[in-house]
Amino acid sequence: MIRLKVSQRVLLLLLATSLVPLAAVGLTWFRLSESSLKDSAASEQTILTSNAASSVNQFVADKINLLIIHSQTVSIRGYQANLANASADIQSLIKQDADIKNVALADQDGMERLSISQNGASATLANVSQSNAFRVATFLAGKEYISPVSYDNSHQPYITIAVPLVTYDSSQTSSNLSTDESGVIRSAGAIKGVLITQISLASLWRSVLSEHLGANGYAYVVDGQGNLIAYPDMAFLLAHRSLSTVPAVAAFIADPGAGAHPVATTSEKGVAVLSSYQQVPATGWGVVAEEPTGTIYASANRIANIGFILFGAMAAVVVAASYSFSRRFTRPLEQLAAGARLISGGQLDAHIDVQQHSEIGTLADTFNAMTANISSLIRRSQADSSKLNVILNNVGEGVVATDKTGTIVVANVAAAVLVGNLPKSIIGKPLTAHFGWTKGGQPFEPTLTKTSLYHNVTLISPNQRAHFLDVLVNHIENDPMGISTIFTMIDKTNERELESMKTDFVSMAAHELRTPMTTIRGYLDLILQDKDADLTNETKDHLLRIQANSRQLVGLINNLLSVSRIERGELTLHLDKVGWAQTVRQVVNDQLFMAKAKSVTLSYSGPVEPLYILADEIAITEVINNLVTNAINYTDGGGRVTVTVRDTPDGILTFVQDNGMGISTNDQAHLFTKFYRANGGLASGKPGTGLGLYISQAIARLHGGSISVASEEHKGSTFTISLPHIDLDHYNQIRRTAAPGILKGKHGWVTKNISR
Amino acid sequence: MAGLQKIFLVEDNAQILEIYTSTLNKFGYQLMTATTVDDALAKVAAFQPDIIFLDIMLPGGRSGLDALKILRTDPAYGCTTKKIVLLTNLGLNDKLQKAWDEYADGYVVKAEIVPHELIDIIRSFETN
Repeated sequence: MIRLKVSQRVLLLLLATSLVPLAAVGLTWFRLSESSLKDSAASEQTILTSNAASSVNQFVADKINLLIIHSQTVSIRGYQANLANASADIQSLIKQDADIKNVALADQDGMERLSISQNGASATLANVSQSNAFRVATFLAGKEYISPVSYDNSHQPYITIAVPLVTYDSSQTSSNLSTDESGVIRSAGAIKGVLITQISLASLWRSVLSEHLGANGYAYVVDGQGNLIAYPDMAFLLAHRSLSTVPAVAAFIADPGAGAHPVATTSEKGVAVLSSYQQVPATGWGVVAEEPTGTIYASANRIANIGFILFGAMAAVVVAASYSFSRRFTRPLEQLAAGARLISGGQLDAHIDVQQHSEIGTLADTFNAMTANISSLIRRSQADSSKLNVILNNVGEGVVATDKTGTIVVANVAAAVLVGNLPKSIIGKPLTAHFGWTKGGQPFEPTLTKTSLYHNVTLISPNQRAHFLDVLVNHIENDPMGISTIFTMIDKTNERELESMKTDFVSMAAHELRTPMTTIRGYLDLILQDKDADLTNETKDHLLRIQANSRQLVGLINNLLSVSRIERGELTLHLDKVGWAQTVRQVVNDQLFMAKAKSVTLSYSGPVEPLYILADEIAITEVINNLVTNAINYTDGGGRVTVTVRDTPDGILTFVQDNGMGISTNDQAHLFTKFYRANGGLASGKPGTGLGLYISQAIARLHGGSISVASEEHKGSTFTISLPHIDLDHYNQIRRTAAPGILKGKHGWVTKNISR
Repeated sequence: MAGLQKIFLVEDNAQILEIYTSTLNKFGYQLMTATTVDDALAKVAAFQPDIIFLDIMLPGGRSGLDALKILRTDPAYGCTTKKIVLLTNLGLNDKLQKAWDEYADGYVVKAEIVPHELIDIIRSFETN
């Protein structure tokens, strides 16, 4: 299937509609003119053959008449008496007619008495009694004789005409003289002799053969047997004597009288011709005319050729006009197409300039309006996009987005800087090729299917600098832009360095505080343990007070360190199976002494089962200890503190209930905040740092539980610790992965008894 | 394991050293002390203690943690399987946690205990 352009189709259509009628008219005209040319050639031929036949006939008749007239002259009839007179008469006859080549006068026995040629010379006399001329002329009553055509040595045609010398009985008109009179019987003696003439046909043939038909038509003459007797080309005549097989000649032989209407046939030379013939009555010859049909139609063909040239010229004009028209018609379309190509190639400022007030012009205007709209939309979108880019590249957090395959599709400057690169250099690359995050020494493998925040992710940049990051991993479902995951990296390196300095400071501060406390407590212990020391009871009591206060001071330092670790997320638990009910009972027992000193009734109630939980025993003991201590501290003498452990389907609940001063609603809201102290804080005169509940809540939460409070001022408070049941799967997992050995933990020290 | 008798105490604070020495002597333990890492490494192979109490903050450039690693990894000192208990007043940090997880058998916050608790600590290795 050939695909034509619109302009080519229009061109073809215009050519078809204009040239087809033109060609049809031309052909019809050509056919009509051919037919008329044929008619005209035929009528010309008929005239020619008729004229030629009649002129040949007239020629022969005239010669016979001339001879008959001369045969009747006194001098010729009296040749026997006076031959000289006869000779003179004959010579005048020769002079009178240029066609007469020779005249001979034979006597009744066939002996020539006179023979005079055209040039006046006398020829040799001969006995012609046996010649056709003499015998026909003297046969019966005598009759004029016409010989077939002969040719002399110089190829000049001639015929012999003989007329008998007879005496006419009745007068004849000179217009139609003949010796052959019907009804006249002559005796043999009535014929005195014969006048034999040789008549040149050269002039006759010249006139007959010089007749032309059209450009190449000609005439020739045949005798009754079809032998060629006159032909324009002598050489042809000499080579071809009989033409009886030529169709026109054969037709003449078959029917000499017919032939006036020219028919299409083949000539003696095998050429297609229009041919006709006409009989010469006097001699029985036929004049044949032939005109090559090619010649007849030559004029038509010539005109046809001119017609073709005109047709071609017109076609050229039509083509040119059609082309111009189709160009004019399709040019705007092509401009539109070119414009559309430019636009599809991204050149949105392309303007299609069609100078036409047609539908195409309107279409072009619509097109231009459309591209203007598109480019304005794109400009707006680009402006929006560059705004977003400016924002994206100026936020401090590194942002990287990947598709489903983990290929980076978006990266901002901050993200690229982290890996010592440019955003464009890492976009299109696999995330893992640039971001070799680690967490806890292991490759960082965040869950990509949900949104999570990961702390303490390490990324080593190409210059070997370690970056400590918080990585927020956002998963996006079915994003049309193909974004699957967004990683937002918050560089915490500086904070971490600060934190590290702070930790070091806190650690050093703790060290500096603890060391003197160690020696204070150490020497106190040495004194108190010395059985040989002679101490008064009072002194001993004072020393015990110093010991209790120093113990409290150590607890305070401990709490400060715990807060520091909670804040860094470094408070780690050494989880093991802990019998919670036993632990709580033990704490209550340990606090009975202090409660009694304050005249507070402390009691415990709980199940006999151990109620196992998975916990860091030291840490969780600290929690219940803290709550019980607080309850005693905030309850006046005579009050009650009740500790209850209860197993529920949702977990283990521990209530520490007092009927002390209670906590205001406002204070309850801030109770678990760091350094917050209820009831006026220091002004209340109650001991505490404002860290106990904060630390306890943090520890409870690390265990998957929580602490809540319900309180009413002047009525009392109830603190509730909620802890989950032991997760045996988790416990078994810990047992499998934990280092073998037994941990023996006490407050202040821990050992593991394992074989190394 | 009963009867851990030979105690090697590495502590730079003279007062603490005095208090602990006094306490341990009172309970009849055989004792050797050192105040720096170099000092400790020089004495430990000959003494062959059952338990080493090793302070972390020590003068002389190398800390107790350095000494811990050397004692655990270098058989020349004969302490790769001995009980080593870290003594410190520092807050727990990553390095300390790592040392505890990998090499130490005990961890003691000096300010938190009274001296005669050292005996409890020693005995915690004697019973299961």
